[in-house]
Amino acid sequence: VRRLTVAIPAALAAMALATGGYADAKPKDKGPDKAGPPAAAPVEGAEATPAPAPGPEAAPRGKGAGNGGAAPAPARGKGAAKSRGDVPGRANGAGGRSNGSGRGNGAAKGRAAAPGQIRKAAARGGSPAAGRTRSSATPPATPGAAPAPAPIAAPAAAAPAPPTQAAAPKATPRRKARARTRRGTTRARTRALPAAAPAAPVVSAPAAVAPAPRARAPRTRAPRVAAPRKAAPRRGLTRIVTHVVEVIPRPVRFALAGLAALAALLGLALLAAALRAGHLKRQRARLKQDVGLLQSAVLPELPERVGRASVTAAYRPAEGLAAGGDFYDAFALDDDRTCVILGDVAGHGRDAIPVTALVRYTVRAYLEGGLAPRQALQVAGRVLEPQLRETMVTVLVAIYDAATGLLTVAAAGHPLPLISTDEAPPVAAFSSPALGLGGPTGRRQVTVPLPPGAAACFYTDGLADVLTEGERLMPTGLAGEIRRLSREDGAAELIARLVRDSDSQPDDMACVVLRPPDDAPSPRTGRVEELEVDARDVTRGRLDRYLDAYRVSPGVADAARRAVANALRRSHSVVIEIAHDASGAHVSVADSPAVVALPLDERGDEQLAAAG
Amino acid sequence: MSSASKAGGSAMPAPNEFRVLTEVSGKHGRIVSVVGDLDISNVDTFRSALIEATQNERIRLVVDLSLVSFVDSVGIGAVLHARKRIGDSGRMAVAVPDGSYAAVIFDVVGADALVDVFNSRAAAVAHVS
Repeated sequence: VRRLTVAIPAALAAMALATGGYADAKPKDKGPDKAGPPAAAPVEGAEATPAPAPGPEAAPRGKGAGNGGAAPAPARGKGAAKSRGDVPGRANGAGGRSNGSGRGNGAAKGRAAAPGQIRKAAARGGSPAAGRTRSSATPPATPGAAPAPAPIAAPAAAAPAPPTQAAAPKATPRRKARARTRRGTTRARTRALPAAAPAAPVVSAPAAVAPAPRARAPRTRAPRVAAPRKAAPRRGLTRIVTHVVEVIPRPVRFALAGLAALAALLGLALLAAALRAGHLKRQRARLKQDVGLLQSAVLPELPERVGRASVTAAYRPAEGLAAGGDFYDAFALDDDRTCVILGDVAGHGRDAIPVTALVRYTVRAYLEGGLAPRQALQVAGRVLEPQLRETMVTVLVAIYDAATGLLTVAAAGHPLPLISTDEAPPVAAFSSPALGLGGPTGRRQVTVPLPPGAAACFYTDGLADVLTEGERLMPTGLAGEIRRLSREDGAAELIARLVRDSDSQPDDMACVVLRPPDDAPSPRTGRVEELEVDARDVTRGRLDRYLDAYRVSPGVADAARRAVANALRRSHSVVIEIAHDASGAHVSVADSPAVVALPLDERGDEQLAAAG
Repeated sequence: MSSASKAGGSAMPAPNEFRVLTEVSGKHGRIVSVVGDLDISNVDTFRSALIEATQNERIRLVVDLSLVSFVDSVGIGAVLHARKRIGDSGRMAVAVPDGSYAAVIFDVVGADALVDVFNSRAAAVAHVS
């Protein structure tokens, strides 16, 4: 706003200067002929009628004018100038004056102005010449005119009265008159408002009055007169600016004023917008903080060691739509066993927070109740199904046993952990579906050795989805990053590195890094997987895809298929165990699903009801 | 589903420009195909198309993800929830080309446990017909 207030006057000044220059130029061009009229015309629009104002006429009016008091000096000046041009000598000037005054109301103002100007001029000491000129002009012109101006002029004359202008008229009537006219015109315009122009005003004033034709001039003048009075001592720039401003035609001034007002309004609007933006920003920060607090209720702070294992966790919310929804937990089951839970509520945002808490504590309770990871997920899937409705939740559950050195993992729609000693990400075939999709889950469980020095990384898809030059990192790329972790690096370092090395991170990132204690055993066994297979898994080819993914030899694969088919004749599903080692895969079939006979489905309820 | 081949040969748009297209084939046949990145920012469009399609009882729905360059868990959730809505009243198949990003995610999410997944659109269409 401040800037604007400064800028506006500056702009006005510039415009005024330009206009002034224009005015100057014009008179010169027309110089010789009727300098008066043309010169005046462009700027003020006042048409000087060269008409030699007869003395008598002027006189009466002049008197009237005298009463009127000081009015629009500047306008008249112009008028005068013109008239002067036509009528040589002082007489003209005088006549002009009287004329102006004589003209009814408008005239009154006009008249008033003239004297006023003079007075001012005198008072200021601005232009003695002017004052003088007038005074001298008046008397000779017409007696009648004399009365009004005379008194006023007198004081002016009293001033230092420089000879130049006064003399001029005398010297060569015509030419000088013209010369004056030009000057007068120019000055008058320039002078227009505030008192700035010393000599000019005076001279022009009288002259102008004379022919001062019609109402136009007076009208224009009125406002201007007022201005000069107000302005007291002006100096330097202020003066120039004032001058310049006076010259500006009224409509333009209005337009400028309008513009200035508009600019001021805009400035205010901007200010208001800025204030509002600041407010919103603070509000957003607060809300984000709140969400952060809520989120941290789902994301616990972990001690350095959970059980015997070292566990670190980190979470980095995404900007925008995807924020929220990731969760993790880690706790000790007993002296040797450490549990890790990590998951992602698809959909995210505020609504995800209650769901994350629900899932996390439900799964944790089953684990603490003694269920294996796969079974915990299976029960959770069944129990939570009605509450999740259209929400899909992926969960990863792991138990690390420092006594055996084995890590047992089950996932519901979630990627399996990456092990720093593995060359490639684990096979994803035969994954169990996420919670909330209406199907059975907890159908696959993987047990792998996790030797001291290795690290297991549990992650949400935000880590694999970071974009670098338009390419996603993918689990394969992330596995490389895990292999490059140093022994001191934890989850925070991993995420920091991913963020640093990628262009964008469109999703939340949560990860937990678990490292066995140095004194844990390094089991020689290979990977052991437990699959619960039903008829659909067979018909949909899930079992085949799994066997293919592990490149199980055709003989073993066929044996596995036959065993499964046989078992499925006796029961709804069958659990097979596949041990992978250097020599290949070994499949064994357990007769029935190992787990969980909670009466949670409708059939169970019906049976209970029937029994009752 | 006669329209299948027609649509299969439709002009290839820019790889990541997201579009959802529903084709009607007969009284109960619908093919909802997606092009581009399917994620949380545009999943609503996709979900609406699926919801509209599953209004139809005895629907035979094919979800064609052959031209999907990326799909996040929310996108997969939309597909699998459509399967859940249809239940036993209709048939549904999904076309996901082997080796595509969608195939990787479908594997991880265990989608094949819930819905029939095929390597090609033609196979999916044949399955529900």
